[in-house]
Amino acid sequence: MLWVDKYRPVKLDDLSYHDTISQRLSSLASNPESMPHLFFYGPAGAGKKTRITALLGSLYGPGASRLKLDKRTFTTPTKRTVELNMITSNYHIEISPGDAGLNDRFVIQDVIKEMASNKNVGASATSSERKSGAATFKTVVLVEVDRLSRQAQAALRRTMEKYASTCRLILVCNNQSKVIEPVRSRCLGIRVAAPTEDEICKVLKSVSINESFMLPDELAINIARESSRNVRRAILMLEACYVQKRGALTKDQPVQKTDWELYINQLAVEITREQTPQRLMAAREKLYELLVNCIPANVIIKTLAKELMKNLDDSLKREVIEWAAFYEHRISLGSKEIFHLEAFVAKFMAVYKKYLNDLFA
Amino acid sequence: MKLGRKQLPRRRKATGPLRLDWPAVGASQDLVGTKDLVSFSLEESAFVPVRRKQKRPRKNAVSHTGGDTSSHDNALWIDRYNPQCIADVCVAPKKVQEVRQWIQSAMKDHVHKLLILVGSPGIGKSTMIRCLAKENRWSISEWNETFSNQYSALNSAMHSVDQQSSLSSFQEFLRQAGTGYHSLTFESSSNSSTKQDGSQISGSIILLESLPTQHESTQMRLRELFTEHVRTTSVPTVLIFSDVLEGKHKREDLESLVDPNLLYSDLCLILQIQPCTKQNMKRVLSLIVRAERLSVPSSIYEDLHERSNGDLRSAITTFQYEAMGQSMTVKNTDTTNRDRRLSPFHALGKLLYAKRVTGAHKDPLSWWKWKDDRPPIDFNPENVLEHSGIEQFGTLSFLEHHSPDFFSDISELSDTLATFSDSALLMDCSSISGSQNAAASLAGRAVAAFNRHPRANKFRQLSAPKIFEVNRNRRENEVHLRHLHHSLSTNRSNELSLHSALGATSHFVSDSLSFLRRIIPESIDLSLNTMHSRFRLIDKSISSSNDAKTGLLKEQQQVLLDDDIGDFDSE
Repeated sequence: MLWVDKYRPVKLDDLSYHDTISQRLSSLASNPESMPHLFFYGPAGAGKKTRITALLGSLYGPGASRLKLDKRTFTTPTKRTVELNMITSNYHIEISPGDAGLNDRFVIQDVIKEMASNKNVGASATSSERKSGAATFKTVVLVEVDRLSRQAQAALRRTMEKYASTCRLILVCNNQSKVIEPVRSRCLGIRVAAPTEDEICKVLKSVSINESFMLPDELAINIARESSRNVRRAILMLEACYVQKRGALTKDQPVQKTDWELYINQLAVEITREQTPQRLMAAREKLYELLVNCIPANVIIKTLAKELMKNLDDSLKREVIEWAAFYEHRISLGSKEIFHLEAFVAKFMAVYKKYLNDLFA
Repeated sequence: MKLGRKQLPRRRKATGPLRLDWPAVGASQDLVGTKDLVSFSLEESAFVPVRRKQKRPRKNAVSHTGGDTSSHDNALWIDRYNPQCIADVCVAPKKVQEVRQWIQSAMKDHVHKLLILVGSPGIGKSTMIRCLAKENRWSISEWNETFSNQYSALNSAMHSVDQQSSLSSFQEFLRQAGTGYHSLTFESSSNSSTKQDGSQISGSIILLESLPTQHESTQMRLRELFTEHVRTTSVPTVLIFSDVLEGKHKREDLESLVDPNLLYSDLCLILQIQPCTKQNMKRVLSLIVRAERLSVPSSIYEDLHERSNGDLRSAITTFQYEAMGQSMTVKNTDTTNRDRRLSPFHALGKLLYAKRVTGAHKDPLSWWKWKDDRPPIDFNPENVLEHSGIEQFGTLSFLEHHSPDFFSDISELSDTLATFSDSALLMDCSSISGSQNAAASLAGRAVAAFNRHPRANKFRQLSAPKIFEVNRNRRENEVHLRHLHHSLSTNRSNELSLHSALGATSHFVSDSLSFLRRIIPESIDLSLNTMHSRFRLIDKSISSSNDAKTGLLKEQQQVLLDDDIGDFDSE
C-alpha cells in the first residue's frame, strides 16, 4: 500500500491541520439530525476526501469504512445504458456522476431517488444494535461536481430539495465557480484550503516517524516547496525519494518533479528563446504531446504561465498573467482547447518580442 | 453538347427495321440493341408519330439555318441544336485532334487500348466522340446499364435467357465488343444507327459513358473485369469520366477501376477536357438566338457562362428556361444558379493565401480600400467556406494548423490565432443564434485581416491537421489510463485506495502517475508501454535539453566574459 493511503487519517481527531474545520465537522457529527447538505471545495490534494471519510466514520461508526466497489448500469430514457462505478457501504454511496458524460443528469436523479427511497439500515435496526445518536439518513457523496453539465446540476437542485429528509448529499469539487449558484446555496460550503508548506513538512515528518527512517529537514522543506502545497503529491514525492535512495535519504538529494512539468519547463525555455512563427510550430508539437498524455489543458496553461513567470521582467508579468487567465477562462468555457492554448503561446511570444524590441531599440 | 441518352434507341428505331426474331444468344452488344428495339416497339409505339414530327426541326438545326422553327414545340434546345459535325463541338480543336489521332492509331496498331476523357459534365466529351465517329465512319458500341436492368425480365420471357446482373451483362458486353468482329458484322447487317448513310464502316470503338453501379462487393470484380478488358481488347475503348471536382479527377477513382500498372502504361491515355470557354459558349448560344429569333441583351452570354461554370448543356437548358419565361433579364434570380463546389484544398488555399484585388480592374462602386490602405480581398470568405463542403470545426482546424507557415511576424500571427480562438469559442456557444455564422466569418477572415507581411509565396503542402490524430490518441490513452487507474485501486495488492476508483483520470495523471512510475514501476510500466505516446521519450529529450541548457548557459557566460561584464549570476 502506498504511504498516501496507509497514513491517511481516519478519524476527525487525527486530522493534522485546519483544526477549525475539524471541530466544526465533529460538532456536526455529534448532532447528525441538524446536518445540512455539505459542499466541500478546495484545491487538489488539500484533504477534502480525507475529511469526508472521517466525517462519515464518526456519523455511522466503523461500518462506514467497510467499502466495496459496485458497478451499476443505468438506462436513460433513450434506452442507452451507462455503466458507472460506485463505492458503497451500508450507509453511504460515493459516485462520480461526471463519468457518465452526457447522461449525467439521469444518473444523478436515479441514484438519489433510489438512495432516498430505501431507508437507512441503521435506522431500521433494533435499538440495541443502534448506536445512540447515529444518523438516520443515508449519505450520497458526489465527487467532481464541477464536471457536471448544467442540466445535471439543475436536476441535482430539484432532487436535493425533494429528498432532503431521508438523504444527505456531500458534494466535492475543486472549483466552486463551476457549480451553479442555487446548488451552492442549498449546501453548507466548507472550503478546504491547501495546507501551508510548514503543515506539509509536519505531515511528512509524521510519515517518516511511522516508517521509522530519518527525514532531513532540508529535504522535507524542499519537497514541500516542490509539491505546490498538495499533500498527496508531497507524500508521493517523499516515497519516490525513499525508493530511489533505498531508505537513506540525504538532505541535498534532488526532488524529482513530474515528467510533464519538466516538459512544460522545457517548452517555456524554448518560447522565451526565440519568437517566430516557426518556433510556434515547434511549440505546438509539445502541446500536442502533453494533450496526448491526457494532461488537462487548464493545468498546462497554468503551469506554463508559472514557468514563464520565473524568468520574466516584472514589467511584463502583469500582462502575461492576464492573458494566461484570459485563455484559461476560455478553455473552461469551451471544448476546443488547442486553439486557446496556441493563442496564448502566440500572445506571449508577441508580447515578449515587443518587450525585447523596445529594450534594444 | 451531348446527346441525350434516351435518344439513341429512338434513333435506332427510326432508322432500322424491327427485327423481333433476332437470335437470342448472340452478340451481347447486338442483343442489347435488339432488346432495345423490342422494348421500344412494345412500349413506345405511341410516340412514333410525335417523333416523326420532331425530326424536321432537328434537321434544320443541323444546317443552322433557323428557318421555320420559330414556334416553340416540345423539343429541348439541347436536342434540337445537338451538333452534327465535329466543328460544332465546343472542345478545344487541339484536344479533338489528339483524340482523333489516338483513335486512329489505336485502330491500326492495337497497342493503345483505353482512352479516358476526364472533365466536368456537359462540356461535350461524348458528343465529340460521336461526331468523330460519324466523321470517320466508325461504329460505336455502347453499354447502358438500364438495358440490362429494365429489359432482362422481358428478355428472359421471350428468349429464355437467365436474368443478368448488371455486372455480368457488362462482362458479356465487354467480351463481345472487345473481340471486334461481331459488332462489325452485326452492325452492318442490322443497319444500325451509326452507319446511317450506308457507306462502309471503317472501324469500331467502344464508348463507355457509365459503368455498372459499384458496390463494395462488386468493385473488385469490376476492376478485374475492366483490367482484363483493357489487356485483351482489340477495339479501342473510350471511357467518359465526369465524376470530377473542379475538372479534376481523383487518382484513386481511376486506380480503383484499372490497375495502376496498366493505367499509367502506354495502353492508356488520360485526357483532361476543359470546360467550354466564354467565346465558344457565346458562339453556340448566339446560334440558338438567331435560330429561335430571340432578342437578348448581350450580357446574357457572360452571365450564363458564369452561372453554368462552363457546362454547356446546363447553360442551354437554363437559357431555354429563361427564354420561355420571356423575361430576358440578366442576373435575375439565383434559382438556376448551380452550387459551385470548391475542392476543400482550393478553398483553404484561398483563405490562407488571402489574395487581394489588384489595382488593374477596380470597380469604383465595389472597390474600397481597407483602413490601412490595403486593397480589398479577392474573394468572399463566407462564400468560399460555404462552397468548400468541409464542416466548420474541420475548417478552423485546417486554417489554424497551417496559418503559422504563412506569417513572418509573430505579433500578426498572434492576432490571427487570437481570432481563431474567438471563433472556436463562438462555435462552442451553439445556443446563441448566429454564432456559427459569426464563427465561420471570423475564421475565414482571420488570416486576410492580420497578415500584413506574408511569407514569400511558395508551394505548401496542406496536410490534415494533427489535432485530429492528437484527439484520437488522447481519447484512447484516456481509456487506457482509466483502466490502469481502476485496476490499481481494485486489484489484490491494493496499490491505491478504493476511493481513487472514481472520477476523472486527470488528477491521477497530473499528480500521481509520474511518481507511481518510480515507486511501483513493476505494475505501471507494463501497461504504459501500450499507450499511444511519445511521452516516454521525454526522459531522454529532457536530459538532452538539460545539456542544451547548460550549453547555452556556458555560451552566454562566455559572451558576457568577452564583454567584460562581471558578476554574472549563473542561476
